[in-house]
Amino acid sequence: MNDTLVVASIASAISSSTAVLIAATGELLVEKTGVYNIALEGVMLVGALSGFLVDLATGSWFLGLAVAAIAGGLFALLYGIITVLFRTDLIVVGVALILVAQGLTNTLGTSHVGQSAKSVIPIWNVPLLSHIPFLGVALFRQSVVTYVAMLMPVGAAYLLNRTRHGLNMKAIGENPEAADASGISVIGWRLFYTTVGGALAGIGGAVITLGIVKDWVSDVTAGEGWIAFAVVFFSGWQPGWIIVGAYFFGSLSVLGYVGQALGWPIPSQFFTILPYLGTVLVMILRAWLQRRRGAVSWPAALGLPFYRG
Amino acid sequence: MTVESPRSFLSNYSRLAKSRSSRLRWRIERRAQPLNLGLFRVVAVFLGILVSLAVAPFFTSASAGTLYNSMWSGTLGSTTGLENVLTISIPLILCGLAASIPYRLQLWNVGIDGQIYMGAWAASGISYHLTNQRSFIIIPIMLLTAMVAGGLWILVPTLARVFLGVSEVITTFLLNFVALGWLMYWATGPWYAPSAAGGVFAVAIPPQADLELLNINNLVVNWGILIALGLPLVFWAANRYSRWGYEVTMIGASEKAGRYAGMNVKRTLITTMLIGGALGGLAGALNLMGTNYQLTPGVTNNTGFNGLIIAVLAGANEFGVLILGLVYAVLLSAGDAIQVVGESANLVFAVIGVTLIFGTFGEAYARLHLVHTRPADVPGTTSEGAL
Amino acid sequence: MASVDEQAEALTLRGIEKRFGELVAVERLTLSFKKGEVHALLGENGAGKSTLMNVAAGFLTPDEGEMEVDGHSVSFGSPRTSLAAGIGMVHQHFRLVEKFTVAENLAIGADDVSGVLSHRQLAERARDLAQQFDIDIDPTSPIWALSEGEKQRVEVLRTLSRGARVLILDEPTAVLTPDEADRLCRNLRGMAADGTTVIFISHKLNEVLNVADRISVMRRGALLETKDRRDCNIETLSKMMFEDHAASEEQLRHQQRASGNEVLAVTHLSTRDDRGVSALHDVSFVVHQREIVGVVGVAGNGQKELEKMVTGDRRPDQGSVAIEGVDIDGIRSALKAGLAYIPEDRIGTGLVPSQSIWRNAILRNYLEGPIKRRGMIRGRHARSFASELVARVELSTSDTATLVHQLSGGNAQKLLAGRELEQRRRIVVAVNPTQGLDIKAAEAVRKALSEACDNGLAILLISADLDEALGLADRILVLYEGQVTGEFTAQQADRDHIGMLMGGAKQ
Repeated sequence: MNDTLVVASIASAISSSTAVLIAATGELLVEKTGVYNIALEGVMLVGALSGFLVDLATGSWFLGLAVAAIAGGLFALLYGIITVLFRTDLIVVGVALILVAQGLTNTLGTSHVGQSAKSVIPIWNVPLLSHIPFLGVALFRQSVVTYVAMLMPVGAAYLLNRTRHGLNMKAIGENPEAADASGISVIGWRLFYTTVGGALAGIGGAVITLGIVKDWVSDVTAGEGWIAFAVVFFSGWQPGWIIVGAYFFGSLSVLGYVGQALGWPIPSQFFTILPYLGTVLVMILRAWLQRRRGAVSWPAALGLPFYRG
Repeated sequence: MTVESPRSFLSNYSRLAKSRSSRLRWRIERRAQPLNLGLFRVVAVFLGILVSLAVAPFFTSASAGTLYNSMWSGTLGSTTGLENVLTISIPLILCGLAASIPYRLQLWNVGIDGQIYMGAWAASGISYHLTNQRSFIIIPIMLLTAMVAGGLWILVPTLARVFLGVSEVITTFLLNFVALGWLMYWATGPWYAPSAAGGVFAVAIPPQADLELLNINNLVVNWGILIALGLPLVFWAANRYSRWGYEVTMIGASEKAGRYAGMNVKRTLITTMLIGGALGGLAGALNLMGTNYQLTPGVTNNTGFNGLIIAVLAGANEFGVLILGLVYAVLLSAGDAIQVVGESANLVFAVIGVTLIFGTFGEAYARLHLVHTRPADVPGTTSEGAL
Repeated sequence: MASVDEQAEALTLRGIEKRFGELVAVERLTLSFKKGEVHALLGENGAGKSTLMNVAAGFLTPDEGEMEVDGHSVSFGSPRTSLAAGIGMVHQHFRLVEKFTVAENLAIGADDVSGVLSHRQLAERARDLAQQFDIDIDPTSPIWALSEGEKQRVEVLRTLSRGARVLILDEPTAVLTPDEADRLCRNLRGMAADGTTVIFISHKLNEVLNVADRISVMRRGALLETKDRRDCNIETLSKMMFEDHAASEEQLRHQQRASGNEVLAVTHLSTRDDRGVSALHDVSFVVHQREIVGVVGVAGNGQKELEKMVTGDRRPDQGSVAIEGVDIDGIRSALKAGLAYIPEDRIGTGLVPSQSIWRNAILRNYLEGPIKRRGMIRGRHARSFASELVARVELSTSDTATLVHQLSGGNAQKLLAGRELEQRRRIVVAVNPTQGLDIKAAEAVRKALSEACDNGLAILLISADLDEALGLADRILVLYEGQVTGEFTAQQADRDHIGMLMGGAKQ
């Protein structure tokens, strides 16, 4: 296999993982406080469309990303209010909101199907580093958002493991009664991080329409929301593994194309399913290895409604 | 009042507390005794449908009249419409059961679509080896194979849940994608059949395997409808009268009591999940043999998810599943129908979405209530005033 | 230091009322706690003690009432508010994050931890706090690895470190070994001496007498009386707690029975508990037909493990349990051998409240004919069985379709007892059967057990209540730290002596 193909593949894998990376980091924060946002795919769709529309209207990708963040955040907040505040069933509401999101975005976006984004997220060649042969070309000629995305899990790790606030956050997700007894507002922070996670997912969606595929079609997110969701489980709720998971899954899809192009005997579907199969296997493996420990690997209160007293 | 520093905090705080507490505070709490959940769910669902249908015309370019007319004639208002409704309801009801049976044990079968794919795949595959057999041999074998495939597909997530505590929500869900990939491989590879209409289709199943059509009152539907209408009854009876049903009821209500009674809880959990998986596989086979006739990713259209929603909204009640399944089928049919007048089916998805949210609110209303707290007023204490 | 009478009021609760639907858990209650005292809140299960204190600590919002700390009004309904006012509570189920270390748990929600934290810093802070409050903990250990007593110490330390001047403990010794319990009581007296108000919820009379300055007795949601420790003894307290103590004198007399064959044989039973600590050591005894054997001891001395093993829920590390000569292996085999079991959590475990009477009635025999035939449960036979049962125990309703949670507590208990205590059973294991019941109900249970025994059943009574055991048993065994430290027949039984053995005295 020639060098250019390898380089191009790696570069492509990195860029196409960006949306997942951002959304997964956001979802990690949400799940650390004990809520899972099943409607992630819907949030990304909302962000994708709103970012696209703003981009068309203003010609600024930056504004597009900003509005996508706001739209995604608000949509996720809606999910949060219905599930966290009113203690309704997360799965049903999540699926419902995905349907609503699909319905809304496809309807509002019909007139724009196939249109290209006006202003796309620019590529920035990192000075010096991007001239390193092979690796430099592969890694350092990405869109600006990709670089920021690489840093997000680092930021999340810092927040979670090295700050007092992060400790409180994790307490909410592990034992909300304990957090409540210590005076922390469980519902308040869960709503807050659901919104933050939604904002990040919204940005992720807009990255797809403004940075990766650079146009709008119906269901443009094509399941990336689900991959982001899977990545969080795959990662065992650890930021470091989120990076691994996001890039690993991203490279799998690229590998699929490459394999097809090179005529490998492995069917492309194998690469498509590997992220999901891999996550299931990793989860089982992890649970099996940790079965003697006194605590579980996921936030203990994940998905459970909180009642005081 | 003179304030000493150790007390100043308390006085300041108390003044704050008094002012804050003089407003009424509202709080959401669980009711001591939940109201009739079933009733509230049903009412909420119907309310949701009414409200979203009433609001729908605002989002469409067609007039309200055209919209409602096309919905009506596409569903209950015409023979074709009714036929469509009944046909769509077959997999919906089956998927509703596939989700509701595990749900009685608080287990979530979110992988029904995957079970549909695997069921259809297995049925297709075995049909290719039985091309010379008669209907009454080939059909039961295909159905059975599909059920086994569905059961096997849910087996690993089930074991992981029962023995390792791994969330079956995630594992069953992720396997949906794996199943789709599996199906796509076979349909585009070894079993590929070129199709004039475009889309992915495998070689057709032998014609003897096609489900025959019934003619009831001039309505023409394949006889899968009998299974769809009959199974809820069967499972209702099983729940009431069989040993398995009794154990599921008791364990589902209290796992502690189940253990206390000497029931084999793990075995019951596993069996029940397997039944759910088998039903998913059956739904796949029925779709394959009654509607699609060829293995294709279109053998399900999020039907599994819809089934889960039906199950939750019906509170795992078999008759509720039956009725909600039919209602859902009407809605989806309406979605097909309005495309004729140029509206996208997405509108109906939004209707369904809103209805679901109403449904969950209905249930929440039955479980929770708003309480307000009276202020902690202390008569005659004015010492904080000076601060 | 000022005597208790002269001390200031630290916390006053006035007119507190809390309802749960129809049930009035706390009824117009007014109570004051003084600074620097250890105040015990005494009462049976369901008296409303926990509810009242949860209101004070902000976990429950009362329907009526007021609260004052140091003379200043405090609003309800938020643990943060109560904590800021200095009220902290340690619950029976600890509110600790299992995954976190001790130091991390101490830091949750704390204001004096820096924004950016280092684990060394947290550990140091933990050690400082431990020293300040004189509570022994290991800062770096994860919570899931700690014993119940250690977890409780962490919880207490956390509450104190947040500035609690009023420390409420809900049944703190329920999960402690006798050693740990002693240590806790000493700690509490020390804290009180430093000016902290300690409120101690309990239903154990001797413990309360040991540690409290003042004792308040609650009964059915109302405050009966608050007395000074010096004016109390076990008799006066139990008189206050139970409606009619005189009746309990009667229970000390019981029938003489001629016992029959050996039914339950526990041989050299040894096992470890969930944490790997030895819970039972070489325990052996037998129970005969028409005999009631009572195993008494303070909770936490191995009763739970004994209970699990005798009912087949758990296999012992060593030794065996046999019913009529057959070693039991699992719950199913125990049931088949003739086990009947009245668990401590009668309504939550022994019955399924959300289901009908007849479904609950056949819980024991749904696999036997004529009720079961070829995989089906025959409703008619099941219902007639249930009707017979309902008639036999004189239940308030004869409609077997009624759901159990619609029955009153007493009726539900009757249903359970009636189902378990029937002739085809061979041995009944009853755990704390009269706990939480009022006099009449307790009487009924005692009578049922006694009659069942007369009719040929063997009964193993596991109890933390010495009086309960003395009122029923033909023979009493004392369980302390996993071993049988004393055995008495009914005639030999001396209440004080047994009580001391329960507390750990050697002979």
